[in-house]
Amino acid sequence: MMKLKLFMYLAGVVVALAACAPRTSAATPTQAAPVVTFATSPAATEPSPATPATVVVDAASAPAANSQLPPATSNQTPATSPPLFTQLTTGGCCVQPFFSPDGAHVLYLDRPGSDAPVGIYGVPIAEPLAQPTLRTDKLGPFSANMAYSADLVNGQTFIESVNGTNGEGERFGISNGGRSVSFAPDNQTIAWNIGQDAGNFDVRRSEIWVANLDGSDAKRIATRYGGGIVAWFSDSQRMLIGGKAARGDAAPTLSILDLRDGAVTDLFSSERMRGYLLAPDDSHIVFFIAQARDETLDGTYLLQLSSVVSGTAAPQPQRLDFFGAYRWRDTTHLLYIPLKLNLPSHELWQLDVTTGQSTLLIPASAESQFKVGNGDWDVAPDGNLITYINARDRNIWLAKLPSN
Amino acid sequence: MLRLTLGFVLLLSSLFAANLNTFQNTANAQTNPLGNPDFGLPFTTDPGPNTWLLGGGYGNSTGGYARRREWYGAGQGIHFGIDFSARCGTPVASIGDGVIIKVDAREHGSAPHNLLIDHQNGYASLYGHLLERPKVSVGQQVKKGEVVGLTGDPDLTCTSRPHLHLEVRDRTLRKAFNAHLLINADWDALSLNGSFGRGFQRDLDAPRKWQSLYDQPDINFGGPLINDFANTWPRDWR
Repeated sequence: MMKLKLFMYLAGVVVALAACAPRTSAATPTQAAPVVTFATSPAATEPSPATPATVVVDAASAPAANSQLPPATSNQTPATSPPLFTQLTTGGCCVQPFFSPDGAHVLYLDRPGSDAPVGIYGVPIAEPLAQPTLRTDKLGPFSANMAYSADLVNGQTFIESVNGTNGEGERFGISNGGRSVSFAPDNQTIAWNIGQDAGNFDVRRSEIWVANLDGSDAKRIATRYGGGIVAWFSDSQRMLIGGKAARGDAAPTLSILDLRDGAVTDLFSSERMRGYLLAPDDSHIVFFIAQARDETLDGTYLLQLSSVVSGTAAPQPQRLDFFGAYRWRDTTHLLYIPLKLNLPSHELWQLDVTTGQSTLLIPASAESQFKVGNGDWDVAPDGNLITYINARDRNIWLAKLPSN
Repeated sequence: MLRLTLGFVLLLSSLFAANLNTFQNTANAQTNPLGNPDFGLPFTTDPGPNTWLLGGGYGNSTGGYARRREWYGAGQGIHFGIDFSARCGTPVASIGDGVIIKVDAREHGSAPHNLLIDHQNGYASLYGHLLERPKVSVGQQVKKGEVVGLTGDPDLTCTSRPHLHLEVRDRTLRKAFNAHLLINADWDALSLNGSFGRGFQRDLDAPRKWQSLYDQPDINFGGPLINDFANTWPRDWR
């Protein structure tokens, strides 16, 4: 533990010194990775490893309590450990980072040199700034565990096992007219949309098809207008779909489609719904409504699904008192970055959907490295790290989140 | 002594510039030959779910790439403006001082109604997909932030894809610039919200090219496609 603290302190000093020097060239892979500890005081320039920085929530800057969820208390839970920021890549590399299924690597599409193959490269989170290595020459879209990838070859869709090489792996041609596919979590089923090529976007016809992984037994299971597949449930037997059931419907509807019998359970209907994100355990879905003609509808919503699925309650979305970007950290915690302009860095908050309590995990400050670029950020499978494009240097960074 | 002093001043300046650059939003900002105008956002309100959001960035966006021939062929295949989603009827503000030079100029696209302003600093701006013919006249002087029109929907329904399409061109109107570099705004915060998240199309021969809001190419109207990649990702799915 002492070694870790010493390392953190020394690394912080290195960063502080580096920050004083003109930045004339990008760091090389052999340089020590900068690890920046968060300091609560804007005046602080060095980390204080002996005194963990606690995040004191400023009640004035905290989002107001949700009127329908239990109100947040004035003694909001401060983070129990400070976030750490770690640079993973150099040279402005790269965009759209995501975690490997085991959480051990941060992956991204790249071709690091003219003589290098294009593919998905990875940096181990345990070895920041290590030389990136090619993880696969498949580019995705991938199945949830990255066992399979879809590709388009001469106008036909193919599904290939990611680890197969030289034709050794599985490879299936899919007769779906060259559409992209969505993999069910169990890798046994695929789905795709066949959409109209023309017409107004909110009423374009979209057929939802499913098939076995190898493309066999393909069948159309639903039709929507201005919508289509939203997400798979973890049981691989149900999916969320959106859109209008009939072209003339006043507004699109978010629904659960059961693949076993085609049954549809409608959840919520409103114009201008977007940004659907299903919780890892299927218990909740978050989405937002923006610029509806009835502006009282605009906002971010949380819909509890478990009671709906069990038939014990009617769908009742709760409006959340923030608007911004969001990701699920785990089954009960939603991370969000409020839409606030011109802060020195981005804030990261966490909503506990079981209590309605929001906690500020990363405050905005000039010292914080949490300024997300390109809208690119992803949460590790264990919920303890996020990876993002640092808008300051366009490199990929990690933020270690305070534990819950 | 003078050399030493000058050297120290230069060193301090370079340190300050390096540090300042680190904290600017416009990382990798290109130097524009026309200089950097003091342009603002084309709205009178802050962004939000009931006002406006960034809908699509300038440049080689995946959405623009998918329509590189049918919609954006005249602009060398890239989305040559910034899209802001907003409900129909949202007031549109001039991004800078200038003079109205065209109203409903169909030859510049962005139906059903558009407006062009010459900012008399080498730049012009185009406001497209407006709800109605703007109530301004050619030759009229406008100030930065002055309302010059109302947002509309190119599909004429106000339910399909209501948004403002904004371009920054040179005053000959033959060239479009990366407007993210010319409009003072927190683009990093804006790109976290709305429907921007699909990112930019990859040329798999050079997949790092044109992947940031700030490194998108300027275009010349009527020029050849610059993004007709032989090997690209996301794939050209139907």
